[in-house]
Parts: sequence; structure tokens; C-alpha cells
Amino acid sequence: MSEENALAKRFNDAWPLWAVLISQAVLTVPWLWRTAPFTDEALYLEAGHAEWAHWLHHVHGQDYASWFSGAPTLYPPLAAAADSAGGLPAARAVSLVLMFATTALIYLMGGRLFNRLIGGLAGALFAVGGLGVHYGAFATFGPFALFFLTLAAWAAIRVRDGGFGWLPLCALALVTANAAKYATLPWDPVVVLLLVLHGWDSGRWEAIGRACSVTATVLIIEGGLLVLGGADYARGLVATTLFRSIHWGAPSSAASVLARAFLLTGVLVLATALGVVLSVLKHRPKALTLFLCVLLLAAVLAPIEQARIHQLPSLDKNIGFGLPFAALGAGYALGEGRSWLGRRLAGGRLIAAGASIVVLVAVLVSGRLEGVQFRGPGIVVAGQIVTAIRHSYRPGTYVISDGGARMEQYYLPRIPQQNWIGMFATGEGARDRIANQISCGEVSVIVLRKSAGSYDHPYDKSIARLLNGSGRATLAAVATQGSYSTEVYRMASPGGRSGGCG
Amino acid sequence: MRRSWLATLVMPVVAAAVTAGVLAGTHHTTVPSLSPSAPQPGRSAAGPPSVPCLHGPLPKPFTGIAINPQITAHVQAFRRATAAPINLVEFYNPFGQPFQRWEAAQAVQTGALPLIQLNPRHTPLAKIASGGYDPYLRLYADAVKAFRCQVVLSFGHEMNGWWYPWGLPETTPATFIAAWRHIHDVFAARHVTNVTWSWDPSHLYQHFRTKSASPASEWYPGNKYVDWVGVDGYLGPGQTFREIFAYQLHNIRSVTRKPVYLAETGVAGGPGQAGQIAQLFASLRGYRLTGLVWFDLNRKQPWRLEGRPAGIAAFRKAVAQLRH
Repeated sequence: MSEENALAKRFNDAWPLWAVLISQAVLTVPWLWRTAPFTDEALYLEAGHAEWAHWLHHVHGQDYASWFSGAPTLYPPLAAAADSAGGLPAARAVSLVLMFATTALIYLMGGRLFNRLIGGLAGALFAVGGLGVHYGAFATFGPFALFFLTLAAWAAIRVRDGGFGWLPLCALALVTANAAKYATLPWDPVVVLLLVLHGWDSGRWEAIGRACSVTATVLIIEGGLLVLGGADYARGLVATTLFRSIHWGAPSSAASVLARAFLLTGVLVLATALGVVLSVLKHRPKALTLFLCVLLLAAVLAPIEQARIHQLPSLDKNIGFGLPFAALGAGYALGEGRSWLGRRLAGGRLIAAGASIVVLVAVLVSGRLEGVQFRGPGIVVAGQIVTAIRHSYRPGTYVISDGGARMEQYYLPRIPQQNWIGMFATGEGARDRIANQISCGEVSVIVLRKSAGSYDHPYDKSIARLLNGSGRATLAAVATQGSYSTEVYRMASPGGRSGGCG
Repeated sequence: MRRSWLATLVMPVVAAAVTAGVLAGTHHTTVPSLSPSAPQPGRSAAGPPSVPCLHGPLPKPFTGIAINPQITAHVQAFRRATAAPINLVEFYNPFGQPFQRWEAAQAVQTGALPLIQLNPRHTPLAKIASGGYDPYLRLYADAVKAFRCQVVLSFGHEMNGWWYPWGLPETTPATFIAAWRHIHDVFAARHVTNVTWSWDPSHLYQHFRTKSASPASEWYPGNKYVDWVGVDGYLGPGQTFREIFAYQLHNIRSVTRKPVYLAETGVAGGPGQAGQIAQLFASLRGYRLTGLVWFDLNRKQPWRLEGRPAGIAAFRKAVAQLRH
């Protein structure tokens, strides 16, 4: 067979992968344009642009490293470069490409570990789920780190066949994943265990040696990077990841975390558990059964960790890191179930095919129903808010916003950063100050947010009273999405002299 | 088989070698260097040129600036822009590094008193207190003594905040005080008489949701060990002097009557900046402060006045009013 024919055959043989990627594109691509940037996306793009400004023009920016959950020098500059080239959709398209690559790696892993059918099923389960679609159009650390984590797993599996270039690739991919998003650290032992268990039958000591080698290499490089990064990076790691429960948000009950996790990935986890049961029932080698147990463990790591630290908000972000492993386990269960039923029942294969379709549809539907938390406002709503601010803003004045206004800042870069004041809490002093700023004409725009028709925070009400009392506030826009609404007030300049204004 | 084992063994060794090489090439040593500072381009190996020292007390209130190592050029540019008499120049000297004679000499040559912030970023304070860094401290003390001119020395500024390793929560007040007193005693034992000891806490004192600062008085080493008290604090958009400084100034005056000044301050850019600068200067007399040091650097926030015409004009006006 000529080389050309061999390539064409390989291309044709991979039709399940092409089908999966097309489905992934159909589900994901519309989201590239559908929403304005979520807070995190706008923040990471801002940090990326700041890094470029620092590298190219030595401009001092904020010390993002001390409070980011991943290295600000790794993913954000990449996203910012794409943002400069094609705006937010381009930055999100980087994530989409990474997610395509991740799907392809899962397909390849399934094919190499089991067979092409299982690879195709695993890829499909990963690609059509709600989190997979969400990550594909989300410009944050997640898709970048997920790709490198999956690459590390793929390299770990390739090592057994003697390609020792895969060993350093495995270590470097793990380091990159960990540096890009510190929350991927719990999956390092999973990759190391895959390295051991997959290589067990071809020489256990060699497999253990390779695992120790990768572990040592990762520890050495990451230790070095931490020393190189200095105290700011260490603070970021501690505050956002190691002791997140102490530093962030109100606690959630473990039950609520696990219930949410079940809605997001429950079908895949159950299917992976079924794969373990099938492996035991079919008396598969112990190493394989343990391998499947490791996949199951990887699938539930994030929910367990989030339940341990009682944190719901970061669950949606971190649960995705277990998805490739869960998809592989679930793919195995469906593929193995098909052959098991086929041998025991007349029409068993048909039943198994039906079951596979049901699981795929369940994953697809649950993903569509269970909206992931981290979405920016719809593009129409964002447009209303931004246009109102743009038309109301007077140069040299402040914009006061209820909470952060990163989406608004992303679209209005001409308003200097220091002219945005985010309200997060207001004591007596701060309320007096805002009142003073309003009466002195230093504020031209005020943005307030409502949930279910009423203001989110007690200080919103006091600001609304100030607005009404000033007699200079005009409601410029009300943008509503679901039960949330945003009000933009235009503040007219005060006529005549204002007493007490510096 | 042998080849595979070799690859397995070699990988971490290569990683260690490369990592060590990169760190050696880029990271500053955390071990105090006891050797004299190496001559740098444009600097005499014999040390800075001899400078005539300044005599007499500082004007009250005095004005100073915290700046980068290009002291002469920065001071001249700042003076040109604001017409401010720069009486004091503040710069930062990492603990473990030699006394920065060259920078101190530049400050004196511009007619300013050098204020040196000695920052123990990679140094456990308990080890300083127990004498673990005495050889370094003795060398540093001797270098300061040899400089002859008066310098202001501060150690571990903003110790009562959470953002530096020499502050909360990694270092307790007791450890900080013990380290401070020990450094003072080493200088006293070397008969160094040209140091004014400035103890510089942050204005923050509150417990926030996730982190804590504490009242400055908890960290005070005692009147015997301190000559000046400098408070660090910055005015964000719309914030008032009272909001930022009132509590800590009151707290400090409950433990000492030493002269108090603002050792690092600035006002964020924005429409209210000019008014806040005027208020900052006006408050010096109201709060009986001996002076202020403007932080003219862009660090976590762009505090520099450069490129802010309204801010520069306000600064110029406030300084002129102060002099009258």
C-alpha cells in the first residue's frame, strides 16, 4: 500500500472521531458569540494584555500571581494575543481548539487501551456533555490545563510501548497543566498510577521506575518554578487552591456539593462504576480492574475535594479535570457491556446499542438542562448595558458599579481602570464618600443589579436612595436576563457650586 | 531494557540540573552575602565619592519621595515638575545585601536624607533575633558607620499587615520586636551613631474576611529603640485622610510621643486626585505630622505623578502652601 493510501485509510478509519468532532463543533461554536465575557474571562484577558505590556514595554501591572489560581504568565498572554487578533470569539476559539485536541486524545487513548468503538464512545461522551461544551467556549485556564492533563495521560499510556520520548512529554505536560491551573494537582497521582497500571504486565519494576521518574521530575521542576516565581506565586497557590476554603466565599454543605456534582457528571460516574463491575464479572486481569478504579477515582476527585472544603462555586470549574478519565471509564462500560450482552442475549448487541444511545442522550440532555454557572450575560443584554454606560460617561468622572464590572471594563477600555469603583460592601464611611462623590458631580454613571426584582445587597438600597435624593439621576437602561436585571443610571452634572467639594 | 532504565533514571537528573541552572542564573541568593559589594559599571570600586554631609534638622513638615535606584535623575525630574524641596529620599535594600552606599551618597548629593528600608524577604526573623545573622549585621553596621553622614534606617516596614513574609501571619509581634531590638543592639555595640531608627507600620489594622492586619502598637519595639515613627498608607479613589490614617495615628500616639510622619503615601489617579492631594498636605499640620514621603513608583498601582498634570499641579500648589 502506498503511503498516500495508508494515510487515506487511517483518515477513513477515524470516522468516529470526525463524527464526534463535528458534533462538538455544532454544539459549541454558537457559544463563541452568544455571551459577553464572564468575569473570569474578562479578568484573564486583562491580565494577559498586562503581561504583554510588561514584556514589551516594561509597564508595571498588578501582581496577579498572588491571587490567581494559575500562573498569569502562561495562559492569559495566549488568550490576550488571540483577543487582540479577533476579539473575545478568537480567545474562546483557542479553548475550542484545545477541547478538540482533548477529544482526539481521549479517542486515541480509548482505541489504544481497548478498541476503536470504546475510543469513539469515550470521545462522544466527553464532547457532548455540558461541561465539554462549556469549556469549548470559555476563555479561562480550564481548557488549557485540561488539554495538558489529558496529554500527560496519553503520554503515560504510550510509554509502555517503548517510546521513551513519551516519558519527558508526560512529565512536562503535567507540569504545564499544574502551572496553568493549580487545581489540576490532585490528578497528578492519577496519571502516575496510569503509568504504573498500564505498564504492569510488561514489567512491574520498570513501570514503578517510570512512575518514580515522572514523579521526581515533576516535583523538581515545580519546586524550581515555585522558587523562581517567588512569594507571590506561593501566596496564589496557597490562597486559591491549597486553603481555598479559608479564603473564599461562604461555605456550602457537602451534600449540596455532591448533589450538584451528580447533576453535572453523575451519568458518566455511574457508567464508569459499571465498567469496574463488568471487569470484575468478566474476570479481567486485576491490573485492568485497578486501572478502571483509578479512572473512577479521577472522576470523583473534584466532588470529593470540593465537598471536603465545602465549596460549591469552584466545583463547576474543577470537575472538568476528571471528565476525560470518566469518559474513558464510561466508554469502556458501554463497549464491554455490548460484547457481554451480545454473548448472553439474542439481540443483546441491539439492546447494548440502545443503552449506549440512551446514555449519550442523557449526557447531552443533562448538559443542556444543567447550565454551567459560569456564563457571561447574553450578548444583547451586555450590549444594552455597555451602550448605556458609554453614552452616559463623562470623561474624568467615576463609574460606580454594584460589585465588579469586568465585562463592562472589557468593552470600554477607554475608561481608565482607576475610574471604575466596584462596590462590594459599604460601611458608614464609604457610603458618605459615595454620597459626597455623587453630590460633587464626580460620578457620571451608576450600575446597580437586581435579583428576582429586588436589590442583591443592603448597600444597593442605600445607593438607590442616594440616587433618588440627588434629583440628578436618570435611568439610562434596564437590561434583563432571566431573574436578573441591571440598571444603568446617568448622573447629570450638578449646576452651580457644590459645597464641600475639593 | 538497559536503555529504558537509563532513560528513566536520567530524566529527573536532567530536570534537576536544568532547574538548578535556571535558578542559579536568575534567582537572588537568600543567604546573606558577607563579602563587600562588587563594583558595578560606572561605580568606583573604592566606594562612592566622598560627599559633604547634611547638617541641621529637617524642615517641618518635610517632603520626601520613595524612588528607584536612579536617584539623582528621579529627584531632579520630580523637583522640576513639582518645585518641591526633596528633604528625604527613600529606597529599598534587601536584607542580606550590602549597605547601598552609592544610593545613599546620591541622596545626600541631592541634598536629601537617605531613608533605607531594610526588607527581610527571605530571612526568618527569629534567626535574626537569635543572632544568626550577626556577621552580616556587623558588616552592615560598619558600612553605615563608615558612610559618616546621617541615614534613616527602617527594618521590616508594614509588619502589621499580611502581605509581607515578615508580617502577619508568618511573623508574630514578639518575634518582630525581638529582631528589631537585636539589630539595634548590634549597631549600638559597633558604636554606630549616625542612624535614625524609623519604625514604619501600615495604616491598616482591621480584620478582613480572609486576612488580618493589626493595630501598630502591638509591634512597637519601645522608645529606647525607635527615633521616628513612619506610617504607610495610600488614598484610593475618594478616600479621605481621616478614613485611612486616623485610627493608626491615634493608636501609635497611645504608646509613644516620638515624631510621626508618613513614610510611604500616595493618591490614586482619577478625577478626585487633586483634591485628595490637597487634603493630604493640609492634614499634616492637623495631625501634627513631621512630614511625608510620596511613593513615586508604579508597583501594584501606578502611584507615580508623572503624566498626571492635575495631580502635579495640585502637588505643586500644596507644597507651596506648606512652605508659607
